[in-house]
Amino acid sequence: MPATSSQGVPATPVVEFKNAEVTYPGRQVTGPAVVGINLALARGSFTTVVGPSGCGKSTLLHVCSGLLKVSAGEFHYQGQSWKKLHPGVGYVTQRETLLPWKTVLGNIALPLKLTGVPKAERRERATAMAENVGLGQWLNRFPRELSGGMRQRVQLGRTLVTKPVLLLMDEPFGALDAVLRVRMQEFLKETIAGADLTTLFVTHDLNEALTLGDQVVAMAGAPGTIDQIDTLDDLPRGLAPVDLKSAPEYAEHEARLWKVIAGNLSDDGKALANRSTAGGHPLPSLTTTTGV
Amino acid sequence: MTTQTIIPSAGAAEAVPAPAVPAARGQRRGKLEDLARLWGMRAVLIVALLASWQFCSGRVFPVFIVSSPELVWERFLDFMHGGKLLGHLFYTMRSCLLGFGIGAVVGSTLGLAFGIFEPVARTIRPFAAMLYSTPKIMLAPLIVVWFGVDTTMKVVISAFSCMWVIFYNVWNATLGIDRNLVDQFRLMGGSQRQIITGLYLPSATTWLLTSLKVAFPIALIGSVVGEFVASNKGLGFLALDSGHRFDTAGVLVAVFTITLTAMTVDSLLTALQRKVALWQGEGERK
Repeated sequence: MPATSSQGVPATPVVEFKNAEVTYPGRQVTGPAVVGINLALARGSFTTVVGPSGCGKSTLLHVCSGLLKVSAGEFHYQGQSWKKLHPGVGYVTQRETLLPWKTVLGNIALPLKLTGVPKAERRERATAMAENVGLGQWLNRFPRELSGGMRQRVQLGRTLVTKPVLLLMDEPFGALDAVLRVRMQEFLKETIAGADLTTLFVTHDLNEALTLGDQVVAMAGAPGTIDQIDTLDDLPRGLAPVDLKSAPEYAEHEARLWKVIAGNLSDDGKALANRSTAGGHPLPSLTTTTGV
Repeated sequence: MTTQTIIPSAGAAEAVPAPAVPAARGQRRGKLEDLARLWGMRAVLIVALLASWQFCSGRVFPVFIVSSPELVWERFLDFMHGGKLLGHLFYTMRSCLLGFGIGAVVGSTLGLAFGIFEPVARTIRPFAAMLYSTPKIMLAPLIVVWFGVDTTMKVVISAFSCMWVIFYNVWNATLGIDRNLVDQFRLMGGSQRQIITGLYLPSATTWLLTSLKVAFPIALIGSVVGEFVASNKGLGFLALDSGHRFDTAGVLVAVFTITLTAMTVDSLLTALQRKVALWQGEGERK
């Protein structure tokens, strides 16, 4: 549901792609990674992105963070075009990016240190965040002394400690086992509940996408396009993932999204070459355009 | 009616590696016993070797060629008299440590720079490989011409010999840094300086320490070679001078002294490596 300002007019989306195309620098020969992207993320929304490998899901996150610029079309972050990295962005990757020589506290405090927050304040804030992510007893442990789930929580804590506007998550739970993944999904929802945070969450897991998201973006490619944006307004909220799965609406969304994704998969599970690119860059068939 | 399943929080039931606990007293005693046994076996081996050497000296091989433990000990005491040996050791170690320090700074700085600025590395790579492949000892006469015959020459040979192993190790370490980590630093607001000091330098530390262990004996060789080329002081000079006088025991005293020194420095570097690499899983929490 699009956010509105206090005056009742629709608020500026935190992120807005308008017919955007992205080609990685130095890869002009291989062509664009994504084309014709139209997507808007309303403030406070939680958007999940699903699609086969190589369809450009992570590319969207790179553009949102400012690490990559659109090569055609428009991209706005908080209503503006930026030449540098976007401020107020937290990025959690699947690949662990904790510093092994720093403790839990040191890792969580790192972004505060890099931005010049005084030592006493950063210690206080990092400790509070460590408590928040359930690691209050492990402040002086090194990453190697923690389990996979705990390390991901340190990453999440490190990202949230700066109070970002936009949270980007690239398959953060991809390496965890099924049980821990469900727990981490619950944990994520609890942790960011109440925070004025817009989240873009990339996953391969359709269940995860439906469990966490307010809307699910299904991508196809390559080059990557948005095939469908499915709002999940009718899904009951506040349920545990296991209970949510038993809701009839859940099954409907799952079936619909599965058809879109499965139709774009090659035999080896990779993204099929985009069928509609022969005549130029296609626009995605948006069934719903929440916030656009 | 919807039944809600309560899932325990992520922190509650998650498997956590057990924190390191002090070893039990029995285990500690067992470890000490193992250590005592190991050193006992080493001592027996050393005594056996010395006894065989002493026995063969003059019986199987001429004393003139192999000397003997007894003669080496006598020569050691002789060299120690008046601080002669320590003076030579100090001279060699001074040039060695200076060369080692310079080699470490230059090698690690260049390695870091090559890893960070890839275009520079691509341009200079063949020249670096050429210099690395050159036998450094062959450059000694040239270094004498450039720097004279005093300590500076030995320092330069020592530094030039040992810097390459440090350079290549640090370069490799820097190249191996995950791009995601660099991006994370940038996204967290890190400047280029903070990325170098907060990411590149600590990442290269383990490799740097490993390379320092390899580089120190090379630096020592560099100093000794310098003393062979032109010197009237140092352990290299002492060995060469003793050799010229067919004093095999004197040569062996110089050799043993330099070997023991290298071993001591290696032990110190190993201890440092253990301390620094605690986070890597190589060290142990006390």
